[in-house]
Amino acid sequence: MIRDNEQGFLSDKFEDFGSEPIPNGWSGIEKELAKDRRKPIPYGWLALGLLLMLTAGVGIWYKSITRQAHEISLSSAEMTEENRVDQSKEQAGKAIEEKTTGKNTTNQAGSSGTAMAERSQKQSNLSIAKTGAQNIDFKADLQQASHNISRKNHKRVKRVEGIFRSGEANKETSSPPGMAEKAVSWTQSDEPKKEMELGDLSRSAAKAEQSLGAESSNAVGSLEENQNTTVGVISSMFSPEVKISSLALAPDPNPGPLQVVFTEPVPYFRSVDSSGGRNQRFRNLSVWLGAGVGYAQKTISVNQEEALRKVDLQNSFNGSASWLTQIGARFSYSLPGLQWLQAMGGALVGMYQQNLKVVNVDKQPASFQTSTQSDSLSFGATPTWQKLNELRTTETFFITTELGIKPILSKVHQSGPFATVLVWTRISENNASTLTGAQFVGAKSQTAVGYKLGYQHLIANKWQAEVFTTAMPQDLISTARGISVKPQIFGFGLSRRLW
Amino acid sequence: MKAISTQQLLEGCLRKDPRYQRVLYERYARPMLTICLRYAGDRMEAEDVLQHAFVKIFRALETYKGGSFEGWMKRIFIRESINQYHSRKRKPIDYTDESPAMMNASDGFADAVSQLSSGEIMKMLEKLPRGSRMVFTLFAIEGYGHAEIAEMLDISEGTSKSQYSRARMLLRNQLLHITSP
Repeated sequence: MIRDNEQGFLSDKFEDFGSEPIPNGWSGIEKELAKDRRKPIPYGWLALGLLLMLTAGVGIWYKSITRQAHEISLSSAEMTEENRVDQSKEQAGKAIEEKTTGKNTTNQAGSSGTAMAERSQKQSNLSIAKTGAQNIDFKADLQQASHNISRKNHKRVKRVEGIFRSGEANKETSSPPGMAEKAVSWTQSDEPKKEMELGDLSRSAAKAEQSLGAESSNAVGSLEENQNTTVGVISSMFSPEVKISSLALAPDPNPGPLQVVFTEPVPYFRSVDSSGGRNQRFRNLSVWLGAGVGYAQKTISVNQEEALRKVDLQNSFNGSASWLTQIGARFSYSLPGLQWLQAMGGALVGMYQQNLKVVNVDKQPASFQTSTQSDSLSFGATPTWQKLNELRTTETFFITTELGIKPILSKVHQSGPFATVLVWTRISENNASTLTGAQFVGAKSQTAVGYKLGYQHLIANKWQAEVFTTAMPQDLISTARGISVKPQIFGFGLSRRLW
Repeated sequence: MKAISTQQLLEGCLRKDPRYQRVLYERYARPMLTICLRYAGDRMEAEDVLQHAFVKIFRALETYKGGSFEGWMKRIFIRESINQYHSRKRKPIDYTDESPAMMNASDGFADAVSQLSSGEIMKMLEKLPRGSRMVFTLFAIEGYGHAEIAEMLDISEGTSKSQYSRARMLLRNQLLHITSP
């Protein structure tokens, strides 16, 4: 046997044996180490940071304009003015009644509680009747008036809350006991700052009464007939004689400052019960149906160590071409209190098609593939190399579910960048190759997590376009040994709003 | 610049100070290149290994847990040399498992080789097949045992022994050629 003392018997010999390294050997190492010192920020973090900054910017901007444009508070001066209008109206109404009936109602102190209702019966075309039949007429009139206003009332509708808080105040302060007062909040059409035209103080009572009646009719009618476009809250303190509970004119218990809020058409369910119908609205929710297509190429790399054959890319540009087609449903939900931010999600089914064009370089005869240098020498033969063109096609069907956020840059176009986390689930896969005996390495997993970044924009009524980029997870697709494909897909999609 | 101790050098390199890194390189580049040359096919490959191994050492310096620093480095360089060879060639080294040649200690091989200069031994080694050469270098020059070599090259201990015997036999033939007229 070989002596153990031969172990390291030449160590001493080579102790001082050395070879001088090349003079610029250090520069190469330094260059490599410099890369470590200034590690590049991953693109994912950059994108996320950008998105966060964008989100914060949009939030601040939106908040500032909302404060300026959408929050209108009635000042105490305005309130006083409205009170004066009411009082004036009342006085004028009494004068008219006197004129038409010949009675001096001003002397009927104590019976002023029914004054408003009696005036309405005699004077107004839109009289509010005490009987059921009169109620029907009233509703018909309201609907007619609503029809007129709905022509102007398109996408944007303002919600006006709590107008005439003074109604309550009047009752307590300026009105005689028992007198019925009206406090009506109303829905306007398009003008953001339109104020209730109650008329000049000097107008006749009849005109003021008609104006008030018409406006309230509009409001109620609008609510009834334009469920999809009009959102209105009518709070009122109607006379006890006025039976209009079926119109869902509930008194607002906490009338706050006047607020104008723009809203989009909102979906709703109507539930019908013994007391009538009730609309359950989804103000912040919209549902979309759409399709998308994406493409990626130049994403192939070869690891010769693992490849069964020596593989050359046919060329770097056409080495790989991948198509992605998807169809599915998506939702977006405006987060309460954060109207500039939407949560979005959805589920899509799709197909991913991958085409690989490679040139395999094979030793012929095939036995040389496993031979070593010494083997080939001992055979005394020179192997020949044969180039084999190959096209590998993989079709993968999958489902993706996604969830993410979208800050709204333009509320009108519902446009903004979005970022979602995708979960890819493979349903099935078909593989084909133009080369006989080609082997595919099976996909490692059934599901994989990815991401999607993009931008959405409302291009027409109910139609939304988006551009996006997403990476197809490598583990989901079968491929050849030693060949890895990491497609970064760029695409666009089109969706139609269902709700 | 006054002489820097190995400890100071390591501390400086751990701080990723380029000046200390350079000093470390200059101090060890020569002996480490020699190691690389024993395993590499040519000088260019050895220079590549030297560069890769130094980068690896600077990056993995936190994992050094005391002991002979040079020994730790040497191990990395040998491992890198082996890895480099495997990554450059598609096929692994052919460590054909031959029956170990029964050689006794009295054949005078060790004495004969010891009389040659380092350069002459290197030239002889270059003519050996890569597998045998690696095993011989690791055993006779680096001083590793067959168990360690087997682990490093991912072969069996028996294969390591047989490869050493093969190298020994081939070197002996070379010696005979040199000495014969």
